[in-house]
Amino acid sequence: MSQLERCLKQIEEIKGQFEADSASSKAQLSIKVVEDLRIKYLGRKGLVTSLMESLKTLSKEEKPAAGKVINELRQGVEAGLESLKSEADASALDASLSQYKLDISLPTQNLQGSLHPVTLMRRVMLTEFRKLGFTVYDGPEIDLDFYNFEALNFKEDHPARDMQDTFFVADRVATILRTHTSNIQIHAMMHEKAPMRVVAPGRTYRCDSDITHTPMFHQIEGFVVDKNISMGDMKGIVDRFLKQIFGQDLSIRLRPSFFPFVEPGAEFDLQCVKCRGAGCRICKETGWLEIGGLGMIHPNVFEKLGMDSEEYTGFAFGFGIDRIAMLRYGLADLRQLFEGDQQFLSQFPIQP
Amino acid sequence: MQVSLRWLNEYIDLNDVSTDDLSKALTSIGLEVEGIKHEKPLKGDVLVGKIIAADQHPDADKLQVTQVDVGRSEPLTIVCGAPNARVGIKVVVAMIGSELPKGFKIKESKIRGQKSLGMLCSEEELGLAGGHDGIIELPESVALGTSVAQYFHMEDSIIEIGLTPNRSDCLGLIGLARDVAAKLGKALKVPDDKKISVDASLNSDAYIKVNIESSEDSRRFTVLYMSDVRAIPSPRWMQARLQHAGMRPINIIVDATNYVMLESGQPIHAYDERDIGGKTLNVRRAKKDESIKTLDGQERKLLATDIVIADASKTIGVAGVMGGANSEIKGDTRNIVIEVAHFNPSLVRKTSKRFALHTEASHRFERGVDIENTVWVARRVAGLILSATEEQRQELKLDIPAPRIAGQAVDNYPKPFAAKTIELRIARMQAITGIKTLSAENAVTILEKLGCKTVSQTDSLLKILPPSWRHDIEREVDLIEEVIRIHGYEHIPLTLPKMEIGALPEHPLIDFIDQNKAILAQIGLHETVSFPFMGAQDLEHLGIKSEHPLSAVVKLVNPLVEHHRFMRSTMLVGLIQALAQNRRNGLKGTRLFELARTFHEPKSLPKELAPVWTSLSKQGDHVPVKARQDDRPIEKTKVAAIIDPSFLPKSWDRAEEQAGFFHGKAFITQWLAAFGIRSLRFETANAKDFPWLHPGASSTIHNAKGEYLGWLGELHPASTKAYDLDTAPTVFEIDLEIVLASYGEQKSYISGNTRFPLSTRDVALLVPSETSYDAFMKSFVNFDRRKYLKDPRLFDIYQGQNLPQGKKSMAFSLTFSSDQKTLTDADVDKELEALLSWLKQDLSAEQR
Repeated sequence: MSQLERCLKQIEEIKGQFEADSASSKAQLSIKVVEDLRIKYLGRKGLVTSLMESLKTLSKEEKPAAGKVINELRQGVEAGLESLKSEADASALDASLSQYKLDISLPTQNLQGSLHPVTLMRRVMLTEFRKLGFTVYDGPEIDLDFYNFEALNFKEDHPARDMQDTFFVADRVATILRTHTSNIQIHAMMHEKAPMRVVAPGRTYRCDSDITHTPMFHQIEGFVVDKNISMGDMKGIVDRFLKQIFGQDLSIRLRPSFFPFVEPGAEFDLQCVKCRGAGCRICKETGWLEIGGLGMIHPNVFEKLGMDSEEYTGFAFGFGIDRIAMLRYGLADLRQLFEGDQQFLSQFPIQP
Repeated sequence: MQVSLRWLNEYIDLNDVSTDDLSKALTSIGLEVEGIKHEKPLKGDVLVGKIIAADQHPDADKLQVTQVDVGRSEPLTIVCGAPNARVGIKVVVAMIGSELPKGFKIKESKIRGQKSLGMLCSEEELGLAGGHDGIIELPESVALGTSVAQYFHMEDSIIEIGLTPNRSDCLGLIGLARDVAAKLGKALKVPDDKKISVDASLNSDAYIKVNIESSEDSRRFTVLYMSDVRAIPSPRWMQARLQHAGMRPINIIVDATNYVMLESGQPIHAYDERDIGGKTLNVRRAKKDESIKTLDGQERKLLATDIVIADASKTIGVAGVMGGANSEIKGDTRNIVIEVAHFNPSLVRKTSKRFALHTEASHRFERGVDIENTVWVARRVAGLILSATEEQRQELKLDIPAPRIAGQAVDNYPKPFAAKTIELRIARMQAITGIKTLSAENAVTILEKLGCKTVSQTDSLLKILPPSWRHDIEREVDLIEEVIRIHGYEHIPLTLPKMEIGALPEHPLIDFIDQNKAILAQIGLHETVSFPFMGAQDLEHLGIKSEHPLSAVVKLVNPLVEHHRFMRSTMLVGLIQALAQNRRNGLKGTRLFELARTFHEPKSLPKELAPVWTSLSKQGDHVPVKARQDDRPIEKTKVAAIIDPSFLPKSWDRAEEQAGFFHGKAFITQWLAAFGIRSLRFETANAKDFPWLHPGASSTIHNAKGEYLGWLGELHPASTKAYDLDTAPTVFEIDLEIVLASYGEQKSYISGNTRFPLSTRDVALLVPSETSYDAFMKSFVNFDRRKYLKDPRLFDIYQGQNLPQGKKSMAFSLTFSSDQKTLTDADVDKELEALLSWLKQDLSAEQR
């Protein structure tokens, strides 16, 4: 056997041995095992490294061929080690992953707040009215008789004033807590020019307190003033608004009624949001829920403010936000809205 | 108003209309049906019977064992204890299985060993008025076995109508029937006063004179004289109707006046002729120091705004409100004067309000009566007394004369009613209602049914005279309402306004309120809404003395309860009450906010205001500019919060957390940072300005410009105790309008080079104990060789062991950076050295 042949045979043996070592190492593969293999074959005294020593014993003509084969061996070992190493890394990662397992059912303690249902309802309403081109207006809660009654065609000493139990302010002339948000009609009309589309939500006050009345409650007033506004427009706007809030399948109905600042005046009902008009406990089997009052703005109101009641017509409507919120959120007790009970309040969201 | 269906049927034929349809019709024309009550007080057989035998009960002195014939095959054995039970009388028999009012069931029973198969009833047991001792004795003419409920007109349907104050005409059944008749297309039947037989020889003016002081106070005063009346009980049908309307039957005279009032809507008063001194009725204002004892037995002092009825020497009635006790109908009254008048609604209202005496009469006079109808009403009352007396005379076999009615009334009516013609333009009616098909013809048909007269008619224009009973029809739009009301609101189409798209400007505070609420909730607070009232005790609990600006409260004349007499001048009260309630409920971790208004009386504010209170004299932004020129209370929009010391309970991943001043401070800074308001200054609060805050844990809050936003602190121990709280919560209140102004200011943001790395150095500094964090912050700002120092962050405060007395250690993490280059250690060290020497000089700070 020539030196070359011996050398080639040795290469074959090392190759076979590496394959065997690789295969057996898989049983207990780890980074350490792979490193030990590397030292065994590629270390300074490793089997492949020492082959380079034996290369020196070959003749000048033999060297390139043998060198080529040794290089191939070396590359093969390196590739083999590399793949073993990735396998070892992967299994090491698997092992470490299985070491770390959370009880993901554990609770967290969050500082999350909540908004009052009336605020949520108010925001929904304002969003819908703004879509219809309304501007939101505000005004005082303590107001003068003029804005709350007189300019709204409530005559002095007329029983119509008894419709609203009024809180009077002491030590002042004709000053009251507003009994409705209708005072904003007067404030806005004194301030702006027609055409107007205005809504005004706010706190209102009546000296009345029982299971369905609180001395402070929330109303929203809306009104439209322009040339050629009709009762049909009034009905259309209220219908559109309530459908947006409670669903397209519900209808409204108007019943004639009386509020001094509108003529013709009406109350409006919505088909029951619970039974959808079929009749249930909520609507006292009538299929209808009383929502609020509305009507065409009385010409006396326009004239009181120096507006031309021939040129302009308009309508106004108003209703309680608290009651709508209760219907929308299925609440049973009006008084609970104003008791500050955090267990009750904290269940509500921030986005309506 | 309670409306008997049987009674209403007298004026409009409703026999083919179901109660449900009638109810819908009423509601659809604005006469809202609030409920229907079916009166059926007797259930089962309660029949007319006759006692045919009566024997003494063997074992009871006061009981009799009677045999009662009810027209059936066998007489019934009934034990009865009434003293008037005797053979031969007709009685009311409640049979076995029947049920009397109040759920009293009749069962077969044994009374002292004797079987009893029913009960003989008294008036009281049937729920009838005018109860006598013993059982009811019926006239001989009533047939055996007749249903007692029918005989006494006990069954009826009562419709409760919620009448609006404009419809005084519907305070009488005829008015109501007129509206229903118009809606249902039926005929209205009004009792005819021509059929009443009068005694032409009897003249009212021979017995009574009327003087009206002012026709403003009484525009018409009609009296009718009637003789030979007897104050006997009225017929059962009349009693039943009065009772179903909620009135108590008294006697035939009073009952007739009430009956006709309920029928016509016109109050009526009947005087005993003997009590009218000088045969004169004067309608005048009350004189100074005059008083009267009214029918309810109350002595009432009168004022010059009261209209009274007086005879020649004394006051005998408060006009439109209540008669006097000195002229009422008595048992021996023989001749009467029936008064039917108009009184000034506004004056009646004033008097009735002052006496808190809201009567059936005042209710109607305040709303307005039909001035044209007084003579009809007077004759109707007299006619009813006449016919009812005759009915009772026969029924009860009374030996009494027939009353006589004067042929002529005395009618003082200086300025007769004249309706004003109102024009109704058909085009306007169509434009307002939105119904293009509504014609002149439609309008005339409806308006005439309601009692209007058509003066002239074309296709485009109607001239209409409204009826005297409709005070609410004053102008064209009122006629339009009448037409559409009867035509039906359901015919109004659904349209949308055709308008310019431009919206009016909106005040920025309105949307800002909602934005703030959302942020406050997002950072962990729960929104509450409370009643904005408080009382004197709250000012006391909060240590707010009379010279403090928050004592300048708006006061109410008529609070529901004394502790709600003031409008709140601070939002604290509602929050403290909510906290207390939550603690009582066992809830820990209360953290509530409210965004609402406080109210202030500018007239009571001290002349000199400390800087933190000057905003109280400036009206809130939500009050429109024009309205600010009025003399009115001040309203401020505020955000306030309360934080319970028990903040977060212990949990698996952290210890229990207690809240205090700094939780409040964190909430405020986090909330306002959402609006880019970052450079807040917290300054020690002056205890005199904030007596409800702990002097060592309270601050005022200012924006970058130094403007005062509000206050923050832990509740003062005294206030905590006053409100019965165990531990002090942290509270704050901030003026939202100043927040809005701060939000609106232009802010500058870094937009330079931020890509060079930051360097950090930690230093611990030993300073005198009283040195505040704020002093450090100011010192850092004033550091004149500051070049790279960016962001000093305090990470530790230590005081105690190993430190000299009177010293504390404050450790800062200092960040350095440049927007020009990467800093070298040498750059940073150089600046740090300079900084340390500056702090030593400025704050006597030594590096530890």
